Amino acid sequence: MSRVEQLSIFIENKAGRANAIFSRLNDANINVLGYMISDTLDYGILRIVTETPQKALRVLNEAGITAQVNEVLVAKLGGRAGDLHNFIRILAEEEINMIYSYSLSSTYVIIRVDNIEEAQDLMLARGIKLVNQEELDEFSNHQAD
Amino acid sequence: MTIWNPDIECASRDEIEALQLKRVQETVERCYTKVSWYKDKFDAIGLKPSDIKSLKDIQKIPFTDKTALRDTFPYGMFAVDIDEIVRLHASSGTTGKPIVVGYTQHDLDNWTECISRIASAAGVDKQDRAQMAFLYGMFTGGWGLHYGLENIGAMVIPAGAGNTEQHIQMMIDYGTTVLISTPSYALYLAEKMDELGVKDQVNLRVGLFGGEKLSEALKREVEDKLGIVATSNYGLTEVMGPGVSGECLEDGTLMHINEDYFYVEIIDPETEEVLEPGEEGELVITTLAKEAFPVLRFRTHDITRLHYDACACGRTSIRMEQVQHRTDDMLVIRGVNIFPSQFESVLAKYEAASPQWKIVVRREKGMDYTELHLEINPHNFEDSMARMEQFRRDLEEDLHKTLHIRIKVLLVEPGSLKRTQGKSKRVEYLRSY
Repeated sequence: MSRVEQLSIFIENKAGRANAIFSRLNDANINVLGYMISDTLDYGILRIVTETPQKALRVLNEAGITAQVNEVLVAKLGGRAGDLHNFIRILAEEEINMIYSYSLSSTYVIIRVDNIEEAQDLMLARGIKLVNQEELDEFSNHQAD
Repeated sequence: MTIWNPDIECASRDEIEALQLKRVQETVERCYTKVSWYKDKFDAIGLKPSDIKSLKDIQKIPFTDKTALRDTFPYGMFAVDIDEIVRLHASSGTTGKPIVVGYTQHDLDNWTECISRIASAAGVDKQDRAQMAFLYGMFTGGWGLHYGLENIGAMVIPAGAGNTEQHIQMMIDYGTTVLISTPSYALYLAEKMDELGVKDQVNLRVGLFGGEKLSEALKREVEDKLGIVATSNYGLTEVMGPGVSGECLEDGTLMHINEDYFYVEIIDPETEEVLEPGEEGELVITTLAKEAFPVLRFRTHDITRLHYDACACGRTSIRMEQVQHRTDDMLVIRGVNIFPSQFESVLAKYEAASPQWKIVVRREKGMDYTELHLEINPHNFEDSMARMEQFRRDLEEDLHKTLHIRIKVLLVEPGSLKRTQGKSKRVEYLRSY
């Protein structure tokens, strides 16, 4: 399975809300690999990709924070010109709706789609490298070196 | 200062009470013979209309509450043939259906008389130009005051509820001298006039305010900011609409009751015992001349106090204090009655709605703003801003359709609303008066 579990957390648009969440994860020694906050004037959704997502979920739940687990695809792109476009184009051609997308780093791009099964198979078939949690952890360890 | 109907307004206690007894006997007879709801109530306790021999005997009559008026929707409480009805009005009920009231031509004439007296007591006369800022439509505010003002010869400008800048322009263009609105809207108008820098072109001198409490502080502020005399009047759709009572210029706080049309009692809302004169409690009203929609001992849920002493203005009627608060959880937003249960009925339609919510009423620049704070939980949370916003907007749309006022829906974090023991406190006021 070439997917990653992402945590989504509802937050009000108030100072310190994201910090409260990150500090819990930090206290539990859980490394956050990437995140995105989408917002309106009053509230937003914080999405995070971490090491050991189930443990991260437990830590947050214990702190009374409601988090939802969603599967996302994390595509490892080559960093060459046209790589990103190629990846986006596959979805467009097959009319798979992108709900949102963000990147872990310039080469690890996260995307949540309507039909994850289909999108995953398509990506793999088109030679896009999708990473799983172990590979992501490896990447993280490698970066830490 | 003109007293519109001195024969009645300055009558002796004996004269008024004799008239009240005659009229209450007629009203009881009408209710018993024409409205099965009342007949059933009377029969259940073995009470006959002929048992009402004195005003004190009114205490034998069972109370009528809002629920009875709602349960008999739409015409169950009407005491005349529907063909005799010439007007319908409605007020928001506690859930779903409104409370519908009807008027015969005679009822409308009496209503006009009540408003004529109240407007005269506030110093309004035929030289005045009275601009209506209450909603016309099913709400009793607009139409109720309209005819009485015409009757005393004032020029009525039926602007209705709406665009504030347009209201101000009309005041300037037409030389408006009297404003009819909620006190908070008057404050909002004042702020807007300042903003536009046109206050010196406006010639307002009197405000007829109703629909919400006019506290001393608010009264002073409205008077200062608009340079007017602010007067309050009281009424409720279930017994007629505005016109039950109104302030004279002598006293400036108490409202003279139209006692030939309304018999008033003060009860302890818990024990339902009638209290001694002058004690604070819930106002109970029996209509004395309503043909189409008479009500016996209607519980207003408004807390007030009655004054029996003579007023320097010469009127002899009993006067009531401003309604300080209510015994139920009804909210009055911009003059519109709203119950938390109405929010509940809308939220019940959404599987995703959280049982944790509260209503927040805040006042900014004199205007009321109402918010619904709804807690997010695992059932209503979706990892898509588009879907969350859709849910929020659908809810706002639905609330608007049900309540007829705009409610801003705010989604708040799980666990952020205060939990209270037992009956949860659904309403929070962030307004100073």
